[in-house]
Amino acid sequence: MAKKKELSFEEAMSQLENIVTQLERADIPLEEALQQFQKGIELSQYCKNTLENAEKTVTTLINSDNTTSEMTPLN
Amino acid sequence: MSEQSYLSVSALSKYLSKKFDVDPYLKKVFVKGEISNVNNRRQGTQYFNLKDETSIISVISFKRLPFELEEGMQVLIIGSVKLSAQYGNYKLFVDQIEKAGEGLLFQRFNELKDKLQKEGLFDLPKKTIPTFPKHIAIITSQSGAVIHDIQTTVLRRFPIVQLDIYPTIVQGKESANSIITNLNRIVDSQVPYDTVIIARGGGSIEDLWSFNEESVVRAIVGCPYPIISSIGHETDTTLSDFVSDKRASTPTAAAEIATPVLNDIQKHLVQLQHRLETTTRTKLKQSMTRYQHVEQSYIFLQPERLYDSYIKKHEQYYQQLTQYGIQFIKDRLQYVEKLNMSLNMNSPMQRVDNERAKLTYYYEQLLTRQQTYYKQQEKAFDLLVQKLDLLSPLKNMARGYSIVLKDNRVMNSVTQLAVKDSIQIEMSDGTVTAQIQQIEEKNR
Repeated sequence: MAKKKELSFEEAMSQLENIVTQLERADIPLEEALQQFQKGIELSQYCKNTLENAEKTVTTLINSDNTTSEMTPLN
Repeated sequence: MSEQSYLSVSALSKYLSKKFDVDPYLKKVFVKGEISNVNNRRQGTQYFNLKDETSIISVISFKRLPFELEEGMQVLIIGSVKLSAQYGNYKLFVDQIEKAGEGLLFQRFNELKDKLQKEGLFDLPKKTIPTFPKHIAIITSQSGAVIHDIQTTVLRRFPIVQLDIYPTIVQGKESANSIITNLNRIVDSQVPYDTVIIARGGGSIEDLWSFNEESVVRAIVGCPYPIISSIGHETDTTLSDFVSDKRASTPTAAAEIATPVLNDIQKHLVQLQHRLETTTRTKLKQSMTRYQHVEQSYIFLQPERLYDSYIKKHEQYYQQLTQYGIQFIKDRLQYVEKLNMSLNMNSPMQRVDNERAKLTYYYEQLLTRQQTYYKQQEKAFDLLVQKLDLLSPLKNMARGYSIVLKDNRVMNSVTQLAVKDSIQIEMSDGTVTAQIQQIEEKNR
């Protein structure tokens, strides 16, 4: 389960959605359901962490000479 | 030359003005050109310029125009050219105006559009815009409202994405090159961009023209990243829009397409986790309930009840069978009884008795009749005997009569006899044999 790090956010989200809908809909065996539940919780945690750890938006100007400068939003 | 030889400005202007007025060609000229610099109408008077690649002429119309003038529109005008003596300029006065089908730029636009369409460039599969981008590249002018709109929209919705702005010339001759260069820089960049936004504010078809350049269109097609385009106003369409993976009506809309709403995702995530827990809890509960249900089943509590239904059924069948048996026997008995009665009713003994009575009756009758008959016969016989006795020849013979017989046959005529015949004479007290001696026949 530690290999989840390679997942993209989208993949993690859609996997989580799949697990939830599957659990809600299908009559899957209890053991499997519990396994899915554990996996779902891990995915959910992963997504939450990804969002929380994401850096705040920075707008960068990439000039033609490839120098960069930060650009603050106009107000 | 003496000073008097010099013309006043107004005199020259008047002269020129006259020249214009009398010129037969200038009274009715046919001019075609592209509209530019449309000014707002002032009290029903419309001012604008008509131009081509190299020249420009002011136009004035006092009439109400049959359509709304737009920048870049190709028109055909019939009118007169007049010189204003006051300002020393000339103007085209509109008599009639009509659209020249499609302007030159529109024509080029359509030709290129047809060409690229035939090539299938517009039918290429569209790339999906990533739902959760980390890096977005933006091709737009460094100044202006466009970048501001995109920035604020992204900050409002998804403030955890990196925006890289590639300042680009979006109008004029250098525009096409600038766009292509920046697209290449984006592709060559180390940053793995999720989405590219190409944006520009509104303008005339001329202003937007670089986005209709074939080289730009091909550069967009060649870009491996999904591209959202927002070029001009919603009503403007450029060929770049056709080949983009998504077209947005405004820069704000482009930013909305490019980013999700972080709050929504977080809410969704919380919801998902909640649903995950709820559904699992429900599943566990259901399993528990099922287990308890099974545990409390009567099979475990009173296993003998397993047979109850069979016993009941057996009893029922047995009763049914017995009932059927009894009924069957009853039916048979009834039938036999019925037959018996019928037999008795049809018994021949009565007839035998009847016949016997008849027989007795007849027998008695027979006896009675027989005796009567005998008595009658006896009486008749006695009577006959008396009669016979009365008629008996013996009495006659006793009175002297005899019977003559010949060969034991009674003779009652002389013709039966001949002389010398032997005859017997029967008398009452015996028989005499005699011989005929003489025959005398009496005449009758």
